[in-house]
Amino acid sequence: MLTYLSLHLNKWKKRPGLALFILLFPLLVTILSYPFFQKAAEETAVPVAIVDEDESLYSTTVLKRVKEADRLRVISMSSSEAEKGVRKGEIEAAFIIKKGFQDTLQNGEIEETITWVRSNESTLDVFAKEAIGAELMRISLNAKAGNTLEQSSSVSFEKGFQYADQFWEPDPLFQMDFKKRSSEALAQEPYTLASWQMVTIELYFLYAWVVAILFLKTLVADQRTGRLQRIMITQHTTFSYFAGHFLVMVVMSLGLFLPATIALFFLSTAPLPFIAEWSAWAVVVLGTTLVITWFFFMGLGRKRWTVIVLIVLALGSFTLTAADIGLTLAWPHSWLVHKP
Amino acid sequence: MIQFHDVSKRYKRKNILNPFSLTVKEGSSVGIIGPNGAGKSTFLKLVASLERPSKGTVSFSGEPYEKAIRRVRAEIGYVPQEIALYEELTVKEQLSFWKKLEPVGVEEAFIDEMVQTLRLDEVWDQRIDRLSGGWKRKVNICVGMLKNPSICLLDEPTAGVDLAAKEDIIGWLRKLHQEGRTLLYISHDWYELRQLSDEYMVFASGKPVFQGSERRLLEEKANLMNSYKEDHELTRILQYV
Repeated sequence: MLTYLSLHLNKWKKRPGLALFILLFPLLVTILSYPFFQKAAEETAVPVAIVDEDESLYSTTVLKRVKEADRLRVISMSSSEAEKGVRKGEIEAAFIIKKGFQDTLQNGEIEETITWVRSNESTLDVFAKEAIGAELMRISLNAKAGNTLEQSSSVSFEKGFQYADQFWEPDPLFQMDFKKRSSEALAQEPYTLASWQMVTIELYFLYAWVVAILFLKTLVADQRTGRLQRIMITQHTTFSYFAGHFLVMVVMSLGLFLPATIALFFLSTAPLPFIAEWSAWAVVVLGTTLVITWFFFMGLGRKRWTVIVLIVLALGSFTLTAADIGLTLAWPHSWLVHKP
Repeated sequence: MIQFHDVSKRYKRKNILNPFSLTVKEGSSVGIIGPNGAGKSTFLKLVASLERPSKGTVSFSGEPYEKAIRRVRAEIGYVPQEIALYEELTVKEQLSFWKKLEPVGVEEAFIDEMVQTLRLDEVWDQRIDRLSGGWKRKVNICVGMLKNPSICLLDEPTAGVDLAAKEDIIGWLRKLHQEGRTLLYISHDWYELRQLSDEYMVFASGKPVFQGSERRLLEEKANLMNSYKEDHELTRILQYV
């Protein structure tokens, strides 16, 4: 049976460009579309607006640091735009850094320095509030330290401020045991596939399936050119021939589907157990699909038109599953989607 | 010895071969002639066990084909009319692949001799799809004969081949026959037929209408032409006898 695998490897070696393109196409798609995936991931972060009315060193520092926070998408805008955005639900909340922010903090006060604008629908803005509150606390405490040292010794306010600030790096010296809302923390939660990930995997499945169907044309050609008859006389039986070609089809199809899917999972930072579980399920579904495809092809007499019918079936399976219009469990794509 | 007893073949409600009986003797070299569509290739496929008769029995050394199928296929070398090769492979890769498929291995000395005689070493590393028709025919024959068969079936082995290549092929087949192998081959070329045949089989209207030596064919020629005078293609073929 492996003779047929080496035969096809030999044939593909003769057209390395085409063979590599077919093999790497889904992987290339994954890698090239990664920036899009990243953008999509960013868009799932909580959108909040920060209005900097003070435009001082302290306010820009807060803005800069909050922008670095995970799971937050910080947008700078004017006060009126921010309030409109919150009302329309385009942003979760807005934080207005009032004029005189730096002076107030330098005096060691934090009251009424920031206005928090939110609506009744705002739910996730607490993460932003927490991040901003932490930065506020840091600057305020540093300023307090600067003021105290300036009054009680010859140390300048700036030196005292910088000295106190070092206790915040890399992490605050004293801190509450808050569970940080970061990508690491999220990984602990059950990982689920986003709809764009699901459609991408369905497309890879379609690609691997269609390439496998097109491979069946080899069997049609073998029959038409008399190679199958020659094999029948040479090997006395066609069992090895058909078993060998089925093996090649399965290996090829899995080789196209699995690396691309796993690459997609890795780029999406899916946890390893999730990848393993999904890969195993995908192998089962693709294997079953290929077995059905094979028997369908053999049962219909290995004709050229059978290949066309099978391609139409594969396209139909993808379209009906993606469109989610009834009879979903009848299609291989929907088996893939409905992982138990 | 291969025996056909009251064999007929129907395909898609059409009679391809009408009932006939005949015997192919061991060690004979039979040239098969006849018009297109007379059933020559189907007959050869029946001998090769690639087709099953719709009625009647084909037997090999007294044993029906159904029971002796593995033995029959082990003894038979078949060269189809089509170039049944993998076009992307080189001659070397092609022979290597088909050798691997042989269940009981091959005689390397026999293959080396065949490669030398057919001068395939000249195109050893060339891809099949880049060879001329003549070279392709030679490789096609070589692959069909890899197992050193005792019964060689060839369907128009020299069709479209230049004279030099034809001489190589005829020389090789004659040598195989002289070594005691049974040869059955279809051809439209009288030069080739005379070089190789010690017996002729004439096909007309879906069955063999003559089997015998060249001398007997000459004797029967007029009768055959008279009996099948409607079949202009057969009449034209027999004129060259």
